Amino acid sequence: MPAPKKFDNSFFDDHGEVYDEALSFNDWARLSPDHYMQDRSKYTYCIARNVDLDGYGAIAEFNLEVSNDFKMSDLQVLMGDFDGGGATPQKWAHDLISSFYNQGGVEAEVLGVKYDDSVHLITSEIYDSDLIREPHTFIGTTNYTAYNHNGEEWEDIEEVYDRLCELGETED
Amino acid sequence: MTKTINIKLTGNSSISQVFFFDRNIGDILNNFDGDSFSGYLLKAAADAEYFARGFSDAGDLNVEVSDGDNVLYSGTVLVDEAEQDASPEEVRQQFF
Repeated sequence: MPAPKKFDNSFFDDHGEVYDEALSFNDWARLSPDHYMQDRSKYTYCIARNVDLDGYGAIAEFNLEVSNDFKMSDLQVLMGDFDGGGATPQKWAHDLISSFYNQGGVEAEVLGVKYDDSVHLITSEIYDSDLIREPHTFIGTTNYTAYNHNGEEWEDIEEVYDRLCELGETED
Repeated sequence: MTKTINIKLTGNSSISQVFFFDRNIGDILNNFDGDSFSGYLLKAAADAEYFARGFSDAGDLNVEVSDGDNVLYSGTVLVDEAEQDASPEEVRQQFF
């Protein structure tokens, strides 16, 4: 069934694209960035690496079986978002996401797509980036932060900050 | 009848990767002896997760959907403002 004219016109007015022929996500269906993550609260420590790519690139690719009469609008983009109406993160992840967001490291981002009730996520197996291929390129744009999980929340470990800066300068 | 489509995303927004450990952070940092700290973290960590992979619509996000040799769509991801949690079919129906 094609998109009804009224909605199609509204979508076209906004984007200059026909709804059934464009890749879109529902503004009200934004997910928390950790929506599909496992609970990592069992770990005591973590180190986060945040990079502002700014001119570098990331790529992900995957295949999907669809029906022959498939329309682009049958693909629902899964959008993770912390501050734009996304759902509340799981308790174990909230402090980390909040910290990354405040550092500018977590924005509204595509997590995958949903087709015919099946979810297809971007995972490491189908993902590559300049950060993986050439980590030395990012010296100076990468910041490392260490956290300790105290049983309730993740706390910054400020005393290792200088050591992390020093080690972060070390790449092939 | 079905067909295979290929979905290819490119982006350049921020990346956040987290390495999780179940041992003391001091030991982890002191045991580093190599040329690549990020490579060391990946090997030493008990678990790792990306919180951001570079595919934000705030950056230069592009998604190409192809069907064999034909490009079916190439562009960014657009927002639709239909009702909450509406499926594509529900989006169509609610405007009748």
